[in-house]
Amino acid sequence: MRRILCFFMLWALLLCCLPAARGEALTEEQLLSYYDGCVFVGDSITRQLRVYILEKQKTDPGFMKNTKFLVTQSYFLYTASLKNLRKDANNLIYRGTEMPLCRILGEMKPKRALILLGVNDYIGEQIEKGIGYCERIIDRAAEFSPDTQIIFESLTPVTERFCRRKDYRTMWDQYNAALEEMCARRGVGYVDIATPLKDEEGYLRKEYSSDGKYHLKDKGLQLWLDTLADYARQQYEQGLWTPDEGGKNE
Amino acid sequence: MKKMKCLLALCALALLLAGCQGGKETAKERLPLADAAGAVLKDRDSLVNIPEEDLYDLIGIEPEDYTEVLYLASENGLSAREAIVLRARDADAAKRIADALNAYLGHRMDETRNYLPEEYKILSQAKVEEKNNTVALITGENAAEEARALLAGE
Repeated sequence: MRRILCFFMLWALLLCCLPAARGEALTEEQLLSYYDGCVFVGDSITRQLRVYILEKQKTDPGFMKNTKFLVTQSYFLYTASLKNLRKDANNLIYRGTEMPLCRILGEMKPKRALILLGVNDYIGEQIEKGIGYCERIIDRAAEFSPDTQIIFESLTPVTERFCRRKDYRTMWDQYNAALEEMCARRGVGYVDIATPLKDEEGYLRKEYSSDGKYHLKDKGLQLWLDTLADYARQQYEQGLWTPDEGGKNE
Repeated sequence: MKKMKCLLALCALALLLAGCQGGKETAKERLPLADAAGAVLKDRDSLVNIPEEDLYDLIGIEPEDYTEVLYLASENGLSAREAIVLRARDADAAKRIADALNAYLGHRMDETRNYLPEEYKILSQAKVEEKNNTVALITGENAAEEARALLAGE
């Protein structure tokens, strides 16, 4: 009788653990806890994501409340790669002072830094330089905050209207491909937020665009969050992260 | 002698209670900032609450410098619309807060100058206001009237 009881208890234990091992049992809240103690770095596009999260906090006060944002309108990828302040351009502010990204990371020591920059640089027109700036960001972060994991997000796609004068779609796609390749080579994270936002022709879907260019409406921002949750799920499934992992670096 | 001591102790207690009571009355005179904002800011429902940590992380205002805060921003990430109101602990703290808010306003103007000219125009008309150690930075189309109305109750 005891043996049978033990057998059933073992089965029950296995059944409880199995869905978690596959990642299916993780809720959105658990998945997004991947971004606790993390900082999102960006320009007006990332600022929109931040405001969208704050809007969600109106009904769910705990929603991504441990995630920080470092955003400045018209912030350049090039500026973010510098060790010192760029005087003729917009810089990030931290505790009331303009500072270069690497030094802010050194102060904050976030668990992860997710970076979406390059739109203001028109980086699709200078891919090699852009990848160089990204590599410089990786190097500077390693110098100032060695435990911070760097994750680059792809550029958002562009609308068909925005591409009438120039084929930015192709250029931005090429940049994203080069960025993904570099991230794999350097062993840093890459989140493809572009693909889910695209239509069949590879443009930003009209229903996701707020300005006919590359800024996003709430629907698009939600899709961005869904993509971030998917990325966290992948990390979990690959055994690289568990939801009970702490927020900040020690 | 004992009676004298008891009398003195009672007097001290009475004074203490009177002091506490007085403090309560003073606190009652001012509405909580959230309520005051609800009455003054017509678009209150469409504004989002910015986390209080941002006051320090972003603007550099020390938590010890204020007793109450209201920090709201537009739900449109590209808009200049913001309302930041703080009740400072004392006059020195109010000065530090005003300085930090002025620097922040300067930063916001810089970031929009060549990028969002309409928002820049709104920001360039804004100013940090202060009354009785309450400091406000309100940006938006009716910012001046809103600031006046909010500070009137201070």
